[in-house]
Amino acid sequence: MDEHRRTGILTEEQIQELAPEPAGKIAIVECVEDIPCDPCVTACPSKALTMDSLIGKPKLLSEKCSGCGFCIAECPGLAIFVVDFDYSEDKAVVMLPYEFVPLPEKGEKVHLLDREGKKVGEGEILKVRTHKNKTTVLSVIVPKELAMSVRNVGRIV
Amino acid sequence: MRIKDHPLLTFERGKKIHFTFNGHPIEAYHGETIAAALHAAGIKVLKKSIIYERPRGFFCAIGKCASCMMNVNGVPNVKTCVTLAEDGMVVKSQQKGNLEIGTDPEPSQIKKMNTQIAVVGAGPAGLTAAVTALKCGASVLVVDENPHPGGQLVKQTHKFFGSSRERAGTRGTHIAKDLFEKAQDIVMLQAAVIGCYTNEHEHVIASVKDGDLIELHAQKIIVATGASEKILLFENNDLPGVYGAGAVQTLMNVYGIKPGNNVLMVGAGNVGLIVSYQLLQAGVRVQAVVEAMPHIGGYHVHAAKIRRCGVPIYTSTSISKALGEEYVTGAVTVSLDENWNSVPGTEKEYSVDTICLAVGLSPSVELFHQAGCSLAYVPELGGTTPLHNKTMETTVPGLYAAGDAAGIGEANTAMMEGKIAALSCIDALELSTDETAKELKESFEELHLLRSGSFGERADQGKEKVFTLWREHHG
Repeated sequence: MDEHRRTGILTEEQIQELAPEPAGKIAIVECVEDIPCDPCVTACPSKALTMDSLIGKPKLLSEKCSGCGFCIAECPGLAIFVVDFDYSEDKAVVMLPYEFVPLPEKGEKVHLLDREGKKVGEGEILKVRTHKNKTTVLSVIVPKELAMSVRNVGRIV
Repeated sequence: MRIKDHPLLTFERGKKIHFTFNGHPIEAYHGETIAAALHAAGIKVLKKSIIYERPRGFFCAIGKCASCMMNVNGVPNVKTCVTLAEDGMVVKSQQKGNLEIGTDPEPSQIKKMNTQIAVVGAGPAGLTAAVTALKCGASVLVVDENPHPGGQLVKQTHKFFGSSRERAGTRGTHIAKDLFEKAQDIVMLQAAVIGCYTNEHEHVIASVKDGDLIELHAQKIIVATGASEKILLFENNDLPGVYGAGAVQTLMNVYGIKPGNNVLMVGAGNVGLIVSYQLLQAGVRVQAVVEAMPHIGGYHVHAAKIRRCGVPIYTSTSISKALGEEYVTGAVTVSLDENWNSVPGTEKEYSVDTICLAVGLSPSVELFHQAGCSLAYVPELGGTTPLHNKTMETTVPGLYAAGDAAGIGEANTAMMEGKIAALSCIDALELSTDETAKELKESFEELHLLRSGSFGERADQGKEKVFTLWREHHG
């Protein structure tokens, strides 16, 4: 049995495969099982996400992905993130789906949480955009080395 | 306990009403059931068991388990989880020394109704069947005992998986709203079906609504009665505060009432994972998810959503005991070895007020059994299942099954089965066109596709068994 099916957390190797070349602004599709689901394919305006059939894992054609993030709020599994690895010299931006209230605001300092919900640092909200389907996409400024670790935020109260 | 802010739902509460519970005044909102209003007022113990006088609360909250029955306005054994609270109601607990037998209310009149297709159950399968048949020009009537339409679909706040050609990406709550808008004129709510009778010419469904007996004559019947939550064996599993996952969803997603403040979730299938996430969205703390299997049963993406919120998932772990006198105040979990035996010394105590069980569902087959359909125990489909063929027709000609009642699946497959059952009825009633025939063919393919892949395999095997048994039954 795959490790992630015991823990609910992707392994280092699986994470490595998601972004073989961490550069630019690109979608990170954390969808590793063959479940019957395909809305990400129709959500992508650049046709960067493809699937052979309804069952299977979506394939990302990285050369076509513009990092627009349209797929983030459309993915029913909330499993797609967009990372801008080159936001600044030492910072990256992680765009992540968020469905809790109250929403953080632009400029707010937040706890950065990893795939286990552990605090790994502090970041800043760059952008808050709530979609028609009520999923919000948060853009969070994070230290560059945490770009592939941060997958949630917690409000500092 | 009422939820004020929610990221996905807005609760439009009706006007304030008042009723009494064992003489105490209770404030409720119009549109809430008695059990929901009592829970919002902090009352979890609804009655005492008659012999051992153990406290009892609701378990399923959808009218299936009878654990919430109370005396309402002098009538005993009223299922308070599906009975709307009304201004001035007198609600009393039933227990030793307080068991009014009451008088059987004589039906004030017998109403006769006719339709081409009768559908029992206004959930995803039933409503889809009704909307499909209506579109094809048949007369349809849907009967459901609940005060609200939509079955379990109205509680599914997550975006659906499946094909974007169908409704993938849409939240279950929206699908329910859309289906009900199309079917609202043909749905009869708060009408409990008590029997289904068949002769060569027609079917008759007996239903009770507002004390009247309704005789519904139909040429075809689609039974989509859904499922009931499974219980798990552990010490004190009858304590109020031990709720089925569906009950927790009913409280928080239909009525906007928190089931508790601290929850232990038992079961890491998709239901357990999704409901855990919904609890977090409602502002409830989920202390842990325990799963007896050595791996998470549900989709990784659902597990990942709660893991990144800091909720631990413990596999090879189960609940051994609920703590509390009148209601749940804690829970004890224990690790399991490879033979499913408890490992001594691995007990862990949690301080929780709610234990949510998401350990599977069983098809609600009472009506099939009463109507004379052949049933079989099919573990892949959750338990005893009515035999049916690919068109969803049971062993009683003209009686069809759809959705969880025909074997546990998920909402997408339930809707697809509802569509198939309706189109098969349309065909049998000789109302089909080239277009409906094509739609039926495509629906078979779509259903097959939804059940392919490693997560759908088991249900697919179960269905194959049911089809084979149906064929054997017909020689």
